[in-house]
Amino acid sequence: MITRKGMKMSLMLLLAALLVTLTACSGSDANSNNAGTDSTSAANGKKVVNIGVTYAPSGINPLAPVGLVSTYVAGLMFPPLVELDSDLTYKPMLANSIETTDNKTFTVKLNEQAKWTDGTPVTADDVIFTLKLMTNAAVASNYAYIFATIEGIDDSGYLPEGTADIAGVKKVDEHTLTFTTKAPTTLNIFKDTIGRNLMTLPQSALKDIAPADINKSDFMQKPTVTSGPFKLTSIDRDHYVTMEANKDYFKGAPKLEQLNFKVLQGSAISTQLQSGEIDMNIPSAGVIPINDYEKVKGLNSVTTVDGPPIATQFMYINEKVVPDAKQRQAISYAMNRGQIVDKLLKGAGEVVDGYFTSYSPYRDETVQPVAYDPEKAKSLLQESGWKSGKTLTLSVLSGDATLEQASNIIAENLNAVGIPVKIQMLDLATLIDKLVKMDYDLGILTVSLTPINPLPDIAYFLNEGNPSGYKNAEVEQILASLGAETDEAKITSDYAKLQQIIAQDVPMPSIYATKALGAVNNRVTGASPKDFGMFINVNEWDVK
Amino acid sequence: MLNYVIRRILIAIPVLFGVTIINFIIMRMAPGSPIDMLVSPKLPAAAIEAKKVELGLNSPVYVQYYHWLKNLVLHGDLGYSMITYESVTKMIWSHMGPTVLLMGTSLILGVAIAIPLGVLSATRQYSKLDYTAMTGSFLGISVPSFFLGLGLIYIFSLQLHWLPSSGMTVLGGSGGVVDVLRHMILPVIVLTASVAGRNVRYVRSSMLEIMGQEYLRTARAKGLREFLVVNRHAMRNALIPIVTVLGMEIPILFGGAVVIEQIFSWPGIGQLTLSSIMSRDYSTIMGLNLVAAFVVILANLLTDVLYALVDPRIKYSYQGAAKS
Repeated sequence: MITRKGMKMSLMLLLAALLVTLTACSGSDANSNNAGTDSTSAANGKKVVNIGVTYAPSGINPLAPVGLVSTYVAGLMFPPLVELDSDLTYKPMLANSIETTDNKTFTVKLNEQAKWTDGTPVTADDVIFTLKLMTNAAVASNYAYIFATIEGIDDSGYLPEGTADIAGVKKVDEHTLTFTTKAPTTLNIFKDTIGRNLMTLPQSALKDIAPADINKSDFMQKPTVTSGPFKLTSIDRDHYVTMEANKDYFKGAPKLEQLNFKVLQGSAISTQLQSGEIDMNIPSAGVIPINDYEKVKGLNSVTTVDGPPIATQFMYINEKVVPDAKQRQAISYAMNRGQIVDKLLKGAGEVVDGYFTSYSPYRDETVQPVAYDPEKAKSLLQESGWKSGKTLTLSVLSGDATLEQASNIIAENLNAVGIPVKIQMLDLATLIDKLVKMDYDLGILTVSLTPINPLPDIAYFLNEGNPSGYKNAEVEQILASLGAETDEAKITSDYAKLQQIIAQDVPMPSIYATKALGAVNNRVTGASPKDFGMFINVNEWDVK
Repeated sequence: MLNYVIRRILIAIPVLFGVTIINFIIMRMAPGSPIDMLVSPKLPAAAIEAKKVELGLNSPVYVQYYHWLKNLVLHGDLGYSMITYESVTKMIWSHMGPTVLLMGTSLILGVAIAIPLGVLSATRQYSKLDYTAMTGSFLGISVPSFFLGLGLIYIFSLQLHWLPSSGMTVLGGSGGVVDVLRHMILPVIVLTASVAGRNVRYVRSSMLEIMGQEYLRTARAKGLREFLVVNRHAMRNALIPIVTVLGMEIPILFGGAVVIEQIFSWPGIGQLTLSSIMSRDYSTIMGLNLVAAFVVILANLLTDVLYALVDPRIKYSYQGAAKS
């Protein structure tokens, strides 16, 4: 009998524990009776928009957001000075204007209406306070390097220890400040770097936290004083972010009451668009698999938008393994990129050769991607004295079905011209590790270059210490002069020259750029899924 | 008995210690690091170094382990996530509830189906019911859970619009028991199917073995009703091996959670594990690993204790061992 009682007891205990968890998880309100599956509209009749994303908002700390979605979420709480829109112009956010007369001193005028949620105004002091945190080595922000252009900050982006003030930043009045850069730079680049990446934090809430503790502070997990259109209500990094409207937002109270992000698998984006559980996606951060494009476009409840080509697949070539430019040209000729774009991407992409897609203002149209020509590839290989004895390993980022298939085609193409290749799928951390250590033969990785200011990325790919082992003195000279150039025409011609050189040297051929699909439910008005500037007008979004 | 439990808990400490060391070594041998995830390689070397210093990754590996262990033993602190800077203890704690809820419900339901069905199948061997139950269990075992999950989503969420396809509550809704229950139905069905499928067969075969025993013939001979013969005399012995199987079921469910939680975006520990491994979030991986090891050890201990409770023979041997 005891045994029976014992078993019964443990079962009862288990059940009781379960019940406690159940009630704990479900919150205090027990009288909810949501009936509809179309949860978006059913959440207590509130005006809610749910956005599907495929990347987790890992760290929403505005000093160092990790990944695209984190940046969007941080920006909704702490608007940057300006934001890049899809037409590649900058729209005012926290700053009403950014101006310069000499390309060295930039005057930033803040929106005087801007207020923190505790009622105090957002001032120039807050901006300076944030910049000091950003450039503090103890905070070790991954964005600090962007601010290395400012006078008084060292080349790694840190304010030298023992220095109290940043020499290049001056407060003019409560809502105006000036930035002085070390070298002249264009207004657009200033906006693209400092304007977009400085998300102002409230000095009053953070001044008592030591910079070394700021990342771990409760505030950075759940900011309590914000200024943007939405406030954070809860976050679970791998699953969701829920936000509620900030009625006092300086550009006008949002019409929506809630804005939520749901972290989903790629295949679930189309499913949940169909079921109504999400209302829209962010094209490059809520990636719909190419195979679902037709299905999503066919949904009656949804309007779709074809995005510009941004995310590009690059082939990294280790020049210790493939030393001759002719051999690298041969790789370019051997790849049937047209077939990949037509058959695999079903036209939702473009063939790219080099760093610039057709979306970039700096693309030189005279430099066209080389056509598929296996015979030419073979003869180039022969000229270079290529010996096909060794099988090269093609390391590919795993998890993207389209990229995996494309890699198979490329491996076939390369095998066909006499470059034996075998594929190795790797997760992102492993792949990056191998590329950086140059412990690879060939590699394929997705890279998205910013359209306005691609210099930091291109400089990394081509300058000393790049992951290909490429070296060209002329290229380094062009890159150096681009760093201090303010004449747009000269910048364009420099980038054109760069494209002509790399078309010959082929340090890092690209394969294709995808046009990410955006989709939005017709019940949402004012919102358009796009990679740049999607949330600029978020306060005007509404639901029918 | 208490002696035995205390002894087992004391033995568990070096085991847990060993597990953390092995895990730390394997984790650090894997290529990549949280630095790769946090900072672009295009950053100046000084910036990458600053990040390493900030995360404590600049000191030798054994020093890092020592710091981790010291924090754990002295402060019960598992540290901060290297990616999100959230407290690891808090993160694990907040994800544990949903997993326990999902797993616990599925385990209880699965057992509640498996035991009566297994017993019935055994008592009516080769009947239609037996064949149906065995076919059902075969399907439960062999249909992959991701497939069943996607199929259910297709039918109940996309076609019939009856149930939500993911999450645990309606985002931004007020939550509530009903809301959670609605979200639980599909994942629970999938997990229950596999738990019940596996265990029906165990119960049936264990029951069949007992049914041939002579003491049951005695029970019947003394005129006991068949119902009592089966449920009192046969079942009690037949269930002893099942206790062991159920004890193993807990770690299996814990591991299987990764797939199900991903399909249904269930905010549990499974997805946390996956994403922290993918992003090489060392401190979170260490914390999760410790918890997983703890669950396995606890499940084993619980099994052994239950075993002793249901099987008198074992109790005696424990007492004997304790005396010596």
